[in-house]
Amino acid sequence: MKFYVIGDENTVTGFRLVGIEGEAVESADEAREALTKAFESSEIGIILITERVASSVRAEMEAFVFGYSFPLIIEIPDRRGALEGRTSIRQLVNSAVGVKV
Amino acid sequence: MAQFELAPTKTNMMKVKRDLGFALEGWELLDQKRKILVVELMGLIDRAVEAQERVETGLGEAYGALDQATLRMGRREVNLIALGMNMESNVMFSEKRVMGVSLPRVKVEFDDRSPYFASAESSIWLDETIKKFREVLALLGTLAEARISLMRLAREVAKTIRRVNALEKIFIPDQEETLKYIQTALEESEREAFFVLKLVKDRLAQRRGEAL
Repeated sequence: MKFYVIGDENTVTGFRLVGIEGEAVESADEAREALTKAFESSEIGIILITERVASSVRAEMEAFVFGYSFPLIIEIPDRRGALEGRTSIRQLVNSAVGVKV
Repeated sequence: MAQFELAPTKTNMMKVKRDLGFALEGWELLDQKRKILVVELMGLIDRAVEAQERVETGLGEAYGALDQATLRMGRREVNLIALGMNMESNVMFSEKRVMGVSLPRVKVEFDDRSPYFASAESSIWLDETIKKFREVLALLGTLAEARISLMRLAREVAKTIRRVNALEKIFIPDQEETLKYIQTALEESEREAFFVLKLVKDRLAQRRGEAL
């Protein structure tokens, strides 16, 4: 199983330096396409997607994350750092459990 | 809603009692499941948060090094070298099951065949970049494991809580109310029958008195 990265050019180049395939995307449509393609591949185990790209295709992301148990998909910050206003891990858990932890 | 339309008979009472017993048992089990899941969740939260923080700082450094490398060598050179990298990472999955939820375990392995490029033609920042990105990659495995496990567990917890509440707040009180209604009705009819018997006995005694 392999990693696969979807993000801006900079991120993809960075990860390519450690031997990871990826696709640089510029628009939401391209991102959607790359995501679908990555999900169809049986080689890919973990998809890394930059937060900025992920937020442009939020609906698809949710569908993939909750609809499929595989491959795993995680969001990473890109060159410009973490996205503001994203839900933190704790918030995610709080909203699911309904109690503050 | 309690079932008042249920005929107040002994058979129905037994049936409701049995249902209630079953529901209570189920509730207890689900409550236990919820507790176990929450404990598991709490244990994971810190790991996930820590992994996330480490990935973020690691990535920050990696991007910084990449910028330096790009600055010194130019984007084209860096891209060329990136295309020629002879390194492979392999992700291996296994799973751990907690209360019927499957949680992924991730192991990242590297197969690297250095040297990747001539050191004379490249900046030291490029080596630094590769080093940093590799570190991040190993961390990303941990992050993926923790984060996905967390999301799945959280979903399961939410589902279990919903079930526990449905039993605790709706089904069990309903059944209890129905049971109470049937019991009262049965007692009432028992008293009525008793009264009728008394009446008959009195009448019979009266008639016997008249006959004497």
